Amino acid sequence: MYGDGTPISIGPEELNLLRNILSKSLNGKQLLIMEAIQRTKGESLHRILHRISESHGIPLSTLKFHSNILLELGLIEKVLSNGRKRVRISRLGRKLLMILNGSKVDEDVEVPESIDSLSVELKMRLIEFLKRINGFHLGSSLTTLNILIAIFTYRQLTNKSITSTKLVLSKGHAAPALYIVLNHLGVIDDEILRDAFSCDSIIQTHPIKNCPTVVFSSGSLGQGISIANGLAIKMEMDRDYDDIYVILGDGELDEGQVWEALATSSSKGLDNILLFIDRNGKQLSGATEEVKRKEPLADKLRSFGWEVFEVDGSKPSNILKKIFISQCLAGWPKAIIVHTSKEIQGIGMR
Amino acid sequence: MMIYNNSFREALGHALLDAGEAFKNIVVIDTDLATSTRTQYFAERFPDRFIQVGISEQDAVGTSAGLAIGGKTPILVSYAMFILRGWEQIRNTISRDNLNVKIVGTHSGLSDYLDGSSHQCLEDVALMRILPNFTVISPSDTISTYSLVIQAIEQYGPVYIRLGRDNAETIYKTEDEVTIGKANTILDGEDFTLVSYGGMLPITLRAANILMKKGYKPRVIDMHTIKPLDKKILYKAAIEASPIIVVEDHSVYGGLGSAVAEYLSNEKPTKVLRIGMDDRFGTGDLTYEGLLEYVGLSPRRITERIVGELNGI
Repeated sequence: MYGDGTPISIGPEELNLLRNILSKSLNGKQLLIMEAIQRTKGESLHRILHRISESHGIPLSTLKFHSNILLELGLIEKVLSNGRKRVRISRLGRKLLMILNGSKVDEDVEVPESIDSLSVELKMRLIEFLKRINGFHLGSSLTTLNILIAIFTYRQLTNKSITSTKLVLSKGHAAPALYIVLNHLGVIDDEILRDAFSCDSIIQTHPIKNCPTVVFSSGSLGQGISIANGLAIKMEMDRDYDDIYVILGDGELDEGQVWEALATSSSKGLDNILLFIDRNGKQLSGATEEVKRKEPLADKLRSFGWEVFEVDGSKPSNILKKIFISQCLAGWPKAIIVHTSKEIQGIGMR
Repeated sequence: MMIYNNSFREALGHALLDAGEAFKNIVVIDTDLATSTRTQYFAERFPDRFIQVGISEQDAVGTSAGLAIGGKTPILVSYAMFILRGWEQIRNTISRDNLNVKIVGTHSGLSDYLDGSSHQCLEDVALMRILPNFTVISPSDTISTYSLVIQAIEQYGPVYIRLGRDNAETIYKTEDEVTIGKANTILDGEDFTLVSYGGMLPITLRAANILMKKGYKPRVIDMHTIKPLDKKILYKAAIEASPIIVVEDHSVYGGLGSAVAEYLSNEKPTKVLRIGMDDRFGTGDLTYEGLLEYVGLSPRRITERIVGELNGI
């Protein structure tokens, strides 16, 4: 339904043909170099070549020759980040790898379909949960729920800790959805849920940092990507990486700080940031395109140096597939535009 | 002997250089002003710990917050005036989450005389001291700048450090003469008390010298820590040497004058005269002295104002 930015769509047969052609135009050593670069974070070309030379017994001069060809073809590129020389796969190179290793097609990624029925169940619990505050921010929480389910399922499937998840809920008003998901995962018990939104509670209508997985107290819009950048820079300095998940609302894109921060992430090649934009098309005063135009959103993000994916967010399994696909790409920050709707099952509310 | 050329930003640059060696955890965040704020020295010595975010203060505040969340001690340095562009972010993230970010606002008050009113920050003390968790400091010379920057790094929690540009004068001899939270009596006297901070302290001392020649015995206090306020020294001054006269290159609304009045009105009602920028902006001038004279904050004009007030009491 939503392309990955290529104006032409390629069928499975054509993809196979293209794969065949490309695999013949690059030799094994060149592919070896590209795949090694793909797997590393923030290393110099020299270091990577040294490692391949040692592990595969290929002379360094041969590898240098082939890496020069890759540089000339524009499939890899050298960047300077925080004073360090690094090499990364270029945009073109990534497309090429995507075609070659074939895992870049949604259908190839297997995810548990059970999370789609879980989504329906949690939606009902979310509606029930917010009845006590008359459905306050229910619409925004509902559209974000599937994103959260996908993120935490991804953590589970990749054996990453749930409680140490770095979640930047820039769209703070979607916090109730997080509480329902955390409760389902057993991180927040029923008692905490029962006492929600009261003075001493760690679960407020907008998230506070005392709540598990919450990186910072949000509520004021447009700040999340900057926070994620700071955290990602710290991880890079200490070579202590973890994914950072940022959830932004589409109305929030009106804030200038979002664009300052988007430019910072790509300038510094902060590739452990995964940004989700809850593209529900609505903000408080009406349709997002009427309040302040956001489109062409994917192109804007790409022009800011981000790798962009789009997905139909009606099922968490769709989003989860995109997370797996996005994680194959190193060197660039990644954004997934999740198309959602606030008109769910006849419940239209802000 | 001139110390750091009697320039606040030179003192800052050197303090950060030494701090970079001593504290491996500090990182410096810049908004494309490194040469002007002298964080360039740190950038050259520690390129891996220097983070350039470009001309985007709101993003710089958020990035600093993220670094602090990760466990670093970020030092965000920019012009005082432009850091305020990220005040809401400072309030909602750094202050609310009590993050260990040190914010240094250079070129504050009237110190950036040539750039004019767009660059002269007369509001930062008011805006930073109302934030919970924040410590607010404004050193009065280069030695205390060096010392207080190091002390700010050593303590946990958000700190705002208000600095002038150049135009410092030597007040202290050694770094151990200043401690965060403890004001210093620079000149003892019992007729009245002059309280000042930052680049206005030496100007206030000159005014005190003129006043002494006229036969007055003024007390002068360096309130280098604006928050938490040294209440003891104020209480004592209110008893021994009132009225209290606060001199600052800041708006008379919300600055140290207000802080002193807020405290004394409760604990020891005393007349407090606030000399500062009276609900107005500054302007550009070719010399610092010329600008101070123009806006009524030169030693001569401060003296005139005080004598007038004293005679009216």
